[in-house]
Amino acid sequence: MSRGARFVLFGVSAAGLAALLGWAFAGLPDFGAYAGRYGRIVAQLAEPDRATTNAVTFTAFDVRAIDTLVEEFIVFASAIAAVALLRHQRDEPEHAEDTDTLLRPRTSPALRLVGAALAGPTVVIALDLIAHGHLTPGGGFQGGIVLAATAVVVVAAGGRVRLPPDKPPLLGEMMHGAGAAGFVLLGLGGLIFSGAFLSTTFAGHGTTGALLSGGAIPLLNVATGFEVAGAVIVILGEFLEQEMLAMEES
Amino acid sequence: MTVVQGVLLVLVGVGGGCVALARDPLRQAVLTGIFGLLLALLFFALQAPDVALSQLVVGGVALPAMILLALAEVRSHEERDKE
Repeated sequence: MSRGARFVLFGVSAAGLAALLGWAFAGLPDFGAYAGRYGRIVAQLAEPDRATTNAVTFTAFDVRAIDTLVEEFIVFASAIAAVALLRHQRDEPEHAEDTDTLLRPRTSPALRLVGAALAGPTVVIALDLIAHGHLTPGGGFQGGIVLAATAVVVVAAGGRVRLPPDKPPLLGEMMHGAGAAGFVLLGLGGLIFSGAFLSTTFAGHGTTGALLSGGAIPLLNVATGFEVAGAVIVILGEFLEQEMLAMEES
Repeated sequence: MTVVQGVLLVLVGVGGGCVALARDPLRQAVLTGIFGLLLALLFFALQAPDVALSQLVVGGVALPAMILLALAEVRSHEERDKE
């Protein structure tokens, strides 16, 4: 097909697509208009029923907690998959003479200073996001990723994630396993104490706005935060380790 | 729709175009970070602070960081190959 014919074909198709898109966008509901009932009901129930002021967290960890459980297991399974795929390649014993070169910093002092200065506040922000998930925007997923971002900051500033071949990255894996198990155990707590799996009412409501309120929702947030942070640290650690193995071989 | 939301929508469109048009991977990684921050601001202006927080961390920090780490590794490989 010649260049001209292709341009004609593209022009006709693009004009058709633009017309269809314009037609579709013209029929969209108004900006901010919401026709559903479910959202309104949930938003009205969040405060009187569970003493949570963040309706998003209320939806994610109470009304649709089973969805969140499955989401958490998706994160869990992907971390396990990354470990299973990458770790078997790490079986060569470490050379002792490598230690000196590994411990030598490879970044500038200014970068390491900025990294060290950022790491502490990032951890505090992460814990704040997780702890106040039921009151203000945030929660386990967001806070967990911020917590893992601390590890990214440290590595980017020149810290080494270096592990002997027979030892797994213990901290990340413990966090990630404990978080996943904690979520399920809290769900079982609901089954035992208030008759339904992942029912959050057994822990008591507390006063609206208090740090310890909203039933088991803050606890579920903590479990999710640990799970997400641990999983991201495990995945990043495996990838970095893989890169370093490739560098040593070359 | 308020003025802030309109301006941010336009900025997100421009930012996305810049990311798509950038040819150098390093420049693209930095632009992706800026684009992620713009998207986070847009979500915030659209009254979705929870989504904005996730976007801030994933699009503004995690994604550019992973691209930059990958680029750094590729470059150190290339330097080794030259030696």
